[in-house]
Amino acid sequence: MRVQLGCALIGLVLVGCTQSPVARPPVVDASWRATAQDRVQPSTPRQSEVAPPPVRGIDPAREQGETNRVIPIAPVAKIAPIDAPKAERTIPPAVISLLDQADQLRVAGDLNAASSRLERALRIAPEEAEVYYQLARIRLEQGGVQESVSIATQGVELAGADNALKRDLWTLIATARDRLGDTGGATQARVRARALN
Amino acid sequence: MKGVIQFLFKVSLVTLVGLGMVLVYLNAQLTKQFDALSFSVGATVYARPMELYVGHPLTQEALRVELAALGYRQVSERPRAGQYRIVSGNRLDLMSRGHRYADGHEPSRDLRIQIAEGQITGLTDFSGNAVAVARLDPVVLAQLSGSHADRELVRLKDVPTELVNVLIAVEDRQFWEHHGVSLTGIARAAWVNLGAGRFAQGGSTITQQLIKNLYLTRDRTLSRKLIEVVYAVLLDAQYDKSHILEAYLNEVFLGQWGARAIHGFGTASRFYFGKPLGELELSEQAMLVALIKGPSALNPRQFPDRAKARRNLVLSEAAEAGVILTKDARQAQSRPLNVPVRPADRVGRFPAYVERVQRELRDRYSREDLISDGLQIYTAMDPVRHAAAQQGLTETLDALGQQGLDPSREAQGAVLLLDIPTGEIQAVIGGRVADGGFNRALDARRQIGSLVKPFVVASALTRQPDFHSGTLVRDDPITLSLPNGDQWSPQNYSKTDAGVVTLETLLATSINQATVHLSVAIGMDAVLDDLVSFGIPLAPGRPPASVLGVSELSPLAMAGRYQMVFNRGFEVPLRAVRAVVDPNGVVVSPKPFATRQRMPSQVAYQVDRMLIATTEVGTAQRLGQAFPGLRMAAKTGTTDDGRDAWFVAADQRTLGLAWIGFDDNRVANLSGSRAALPVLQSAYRAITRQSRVIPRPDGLRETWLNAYGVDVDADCPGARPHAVPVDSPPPISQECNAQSGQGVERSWWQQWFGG
Repeated sequence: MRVQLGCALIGLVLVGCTQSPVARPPVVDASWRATAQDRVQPSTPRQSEVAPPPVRGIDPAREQGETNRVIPIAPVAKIAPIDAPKAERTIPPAVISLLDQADQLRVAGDLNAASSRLERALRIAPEEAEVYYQLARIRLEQGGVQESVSIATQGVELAGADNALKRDLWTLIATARDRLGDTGGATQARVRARALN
Repeated sequence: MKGVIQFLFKVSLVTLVGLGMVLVYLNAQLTKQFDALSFSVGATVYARPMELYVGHPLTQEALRVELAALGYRQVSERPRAGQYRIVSGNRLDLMSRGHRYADGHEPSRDLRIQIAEGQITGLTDFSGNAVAVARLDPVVLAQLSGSHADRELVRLKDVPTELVNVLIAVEDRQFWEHHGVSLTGIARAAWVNLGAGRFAQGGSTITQQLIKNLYLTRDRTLSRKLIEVVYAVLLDAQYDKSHILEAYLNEVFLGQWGARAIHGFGTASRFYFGKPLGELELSEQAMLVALIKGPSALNPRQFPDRAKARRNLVLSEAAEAGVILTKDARQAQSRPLNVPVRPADRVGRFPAYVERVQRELRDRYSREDLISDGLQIYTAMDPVRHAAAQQGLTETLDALGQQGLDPSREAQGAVLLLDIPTGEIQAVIGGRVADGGFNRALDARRQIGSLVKPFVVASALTRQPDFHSGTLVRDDPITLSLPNGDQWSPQNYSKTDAGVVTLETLLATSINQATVHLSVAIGMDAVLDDLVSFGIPLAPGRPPASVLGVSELSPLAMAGRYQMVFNRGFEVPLRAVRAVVDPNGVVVSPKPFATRQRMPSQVAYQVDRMLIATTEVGTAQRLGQAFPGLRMAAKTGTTDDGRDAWFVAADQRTLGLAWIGFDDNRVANLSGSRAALPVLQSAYRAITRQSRVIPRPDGLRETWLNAYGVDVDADCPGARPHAVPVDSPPPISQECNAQSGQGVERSWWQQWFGG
């Protein structure tokens, strides 16, 4: 269904979408689109009086320098994939030390200093979802509820396969959304947390 | 007779009143100027402290550059605070200085640092106990203090007592007792002058010397001398001695370096010895006191023998006055001058960066508050990277001149380096010369050209979840009717059409027609809306040419847009300032770390990969070739007639942006890859680099596609790795050159659903 809708949207007669055994790559193309010209009409009449600035731009051949071939060729084909599976997650000792210090400061009520330690940890290990979780927790305590949700959301993105951490992050997001009065969003977050049990 | 007496009386009365009025006037002038002078230490702006921990990317060389900038001295014995010792080729012992940071005190500590293959491999104390993480003290970038921006001002309480004692013993022994002028001093001077038959010696007190430095020219006339005496008495009557002494310590002239006058002991300590006043040895303190007599004639860099003789005389006089022990004086006299050949001048060298710092603080602090006493401003500025960026720009502009592309030598540039995950600004270069003039990195508004294309592609990927980097787009002539009735037919510069190209090729080789085809297919209005939501404002009238980059942005704003792409779609507000500590110890973070997702992570990931392809097979190949084996992402940008050359690049952590053009926007025939790319190539060469590695988000899988977007064997010539949506796979073929999935097995989707 999704594929057919996508094909329909770009207005192609796309064999691959129908019963044919032949799969053809779709070609994105403006001129086949009946309404294409309409799409660039102005949304308000006032704008018709404004002449568009001249097109200054973009001059691929010049940018390409010596390479004029459009279709890329072989040399890099054998380079290993960019995202080789992430090795077992180990938090560097420096980060553990800073997380500990931040936790002590947080317990002692010095949220600013705690936050500052976590930002140091973030600079050392910006891929470490645990740091985002701790930062989101501090922001929430500091009253930055929306900021807390955003930081935790990035934490979820980085947590990979660490389901326990993801669950904590979603639970934190749920709490923060509750505080924002976003009951629906909070419930969704709780459902996602529970699904990770 | 009576009349004569009356007349004389009247005359003297008028004279007295007149003199009184002059005195009142002089006094008003004096106090006004002296109060305005206010030697507040001002705000101190610090660079990022160097963090030390196992795994930190760092070279021996970078560490030594840092230690030199901090004025750490190499020793052969066990280091004390502010010293280091090279133990072996890859091991270095140092004693850090300790510093009160915004988040608490970092103690002075002994550290043994082992460095191998570009990172710290061991960190312990001198006894071998592991240290998890430590910070050095931060380099001072600037003092913000009204008119004394290039001075390192000191408070009297921070000046070593020894130095003050030696100074007073040599220059003005009665300082604490006299009333601004010293009668014995004057008598002695008069005696000498009588003998010499001319006005040769001043007999000046410290107060008089201060007056002379502050208000008067250097000529030695008697009237000057009289005014100086009157001022000195007035000043002494109204201000306490320590106030006067502090002003003197910060004002006294101690040297000249080109156009720059070295005023005050704090500045002179840095200038001659490369370290703070508090760390000077007795011999070095005496050298500074010795310079008062004649900063040029006694310049230790130019006239070491004379300087040493005068220094030793100062030490003898101080011992004779009893303020130092004779044996200490002797010991100090035997010390070498210890003046590094090159002045360690770093105050006021980073005007463009400091300007950004001030703007970030503008909302919170008034100009007065900012330069008032004692604010400590901690920033993310990285001196090593800053130097790399400046060097890259200088080299590139020189090369453009030599190649005849900039015969007038008026081309300008801007460079920024950012830390991608934290949004921290590490370097801001505002122009050819770091003179504090027009800050192009922050304030130039220039057409962005092809730098916009990744955002057009991001719009397409966001709105069409089945699109991916192998999706084919038409590349042939296209004409749009504009609202004003004009026809718009964007062209590829090459005047050739590829027919169809993959999205990856569109981005990697920056193809105009295909970009417009794509935009119209998605819906021009929708794409323009998305550009705005990605933070790229449109010119008035929402011109369709926005998809080819007619919007005008500052280099800093543009760097922010790419930060979002390189950070999985999460925008982190850019900041230079980490924290501010006020004199009461209150800590303020004007812009604490924040993040906001503005682009789906799958979309950011795919665009990121296409920009990596740009360094492999596209317009930024030159960068890829410069760093074999290092995976980087990049995008070139060039505007009409080569008025603007742009280049954005990223390794794992560092985003670099360079712009080259002319302030008057003239036709320049520059290009992103020729003019702007070399700036960053040079900058990256000078800093630690890490390959870009980005985990693939859920919903995408890895496969190999040929130039027609067909899933083929990885061994096929020209096949490239792509991430494609799990839900809508591309057609598959066993033919390497297949233009469609003809004659092959159906896709898994078709097999499963009989499609």
